[in-house]
Amino acid sequence: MSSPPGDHICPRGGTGLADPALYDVGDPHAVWRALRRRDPVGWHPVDDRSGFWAVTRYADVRAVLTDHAGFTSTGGVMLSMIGRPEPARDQQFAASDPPRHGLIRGPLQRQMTGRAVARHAPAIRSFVREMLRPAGGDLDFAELTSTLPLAFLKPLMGIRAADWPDLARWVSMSVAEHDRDVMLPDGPSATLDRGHRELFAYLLNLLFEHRRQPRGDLVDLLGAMPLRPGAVVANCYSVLLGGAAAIPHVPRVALAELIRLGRYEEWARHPQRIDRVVEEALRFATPAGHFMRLATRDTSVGGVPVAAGEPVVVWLGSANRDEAVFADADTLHPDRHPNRHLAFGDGRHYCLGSAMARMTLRIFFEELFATFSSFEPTGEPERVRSAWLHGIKRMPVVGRRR
Amino acid sequence: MPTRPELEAMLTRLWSEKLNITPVGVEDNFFALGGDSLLAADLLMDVYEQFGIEVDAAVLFLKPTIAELVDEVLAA
Repeated sequence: MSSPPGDHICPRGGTGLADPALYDVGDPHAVWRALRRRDPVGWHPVDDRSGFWAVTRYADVRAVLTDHAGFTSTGGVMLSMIGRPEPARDQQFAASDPPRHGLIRGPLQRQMTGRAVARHAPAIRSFVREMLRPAGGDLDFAELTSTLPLAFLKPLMGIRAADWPDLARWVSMSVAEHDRDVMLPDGPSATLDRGHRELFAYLLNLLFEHRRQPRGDLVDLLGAMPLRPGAVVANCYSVLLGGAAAIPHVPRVALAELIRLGRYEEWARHPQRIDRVVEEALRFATPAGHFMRLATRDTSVGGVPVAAGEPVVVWLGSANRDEAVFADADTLHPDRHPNRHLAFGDGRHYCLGSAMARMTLRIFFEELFATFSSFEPTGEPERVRSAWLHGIKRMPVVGRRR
Repeated sequence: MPTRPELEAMLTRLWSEKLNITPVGVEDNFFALGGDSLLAADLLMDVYEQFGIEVDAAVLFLKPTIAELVDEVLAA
């Protein structure tokens, strides 16, 4: 840790919200709070040539995410894409606008409803039990939860457990290219390219395998759509990244806060409130930190004029701590209700895997609470250096089994 | 099975079509010529359909030259 959190708004020499160091050694919540009060739609430079409008209030974030005609996803949806062409535009559901977006997403959506994913519940529960079975005593809770995405990526895409260590590293390279754990000697941009190409190569091989031996999963479904092979792989990439990158950070961030507050045991004793626990953990952690759109015309956000073509970045982690919507927003409340958080986004691009994520998290918390009576920290959690992925990569604790 | 020069000629023609560029050299990097990941996936599917060979995708994505691709096809 180069400096304690809270003694500065943005790390010195950084570039505000685009600076990945804000999210591992800085205090993004303090910055967002200040921005929500004083500059809720403000221009943030990335370099001499480019910048973006940062939107930090809940109401403005929702307005941008639900106005698909005014704000397009076709120019890329992450800050790392600023100034880069988006080769998947109009071909990948995440990088398309309605009505094109619905043509690709619709068939996937039907496999991802609450009812459709419920059939995977028993397999997910046994996977989670197996994950937690050997754990106890001194452990790294981040390492313990690192395979959680496999619980559903196996049934959804046919991904093998043996491939997970490589895949997890390539996913990190693609969403946290500044993080020292994964950054290549050639720098963040080379890291991003490499991670992306490794994943593309892996997924194309996976598509070949599915052509030989169909499994009836999402890869087969995409492969049968009227899309060119590159577009099939680009959509597999969206599903994989959406599923793999964010979910383990929800229990990590929530547990770190419960340990800090000394409230784990109290939460673990009330398993009947598990749905609210899941929603509150999602709100509090919000691991997918931002989404980018490009204004399609001269418009305004929260009364601030925005010109056609300018990037607009909504900060979900900020919206989810907006005091205008959430009372006592910086506190984790197991019983918070209503809890209309934006951790899964909003509008047509609302997370495709939200039902699967909710079910997996519910099972995970149930099993965690049933397995562990208490946790104590043995070191500071280490956060991820990324402007997109907000979470924890190391978390030394002692866990006591019941 | 086609010979190395035949494969090089076929792949050069395929790359030119995909990238809309001529001439393409056997040591040129696919991504440096303006190729992107989606085009690379299309190209490998074309290789599969024309030659019946599944090239390990890592070859084109990580060592993106026609020379490397031909090595891989000949080895398969």
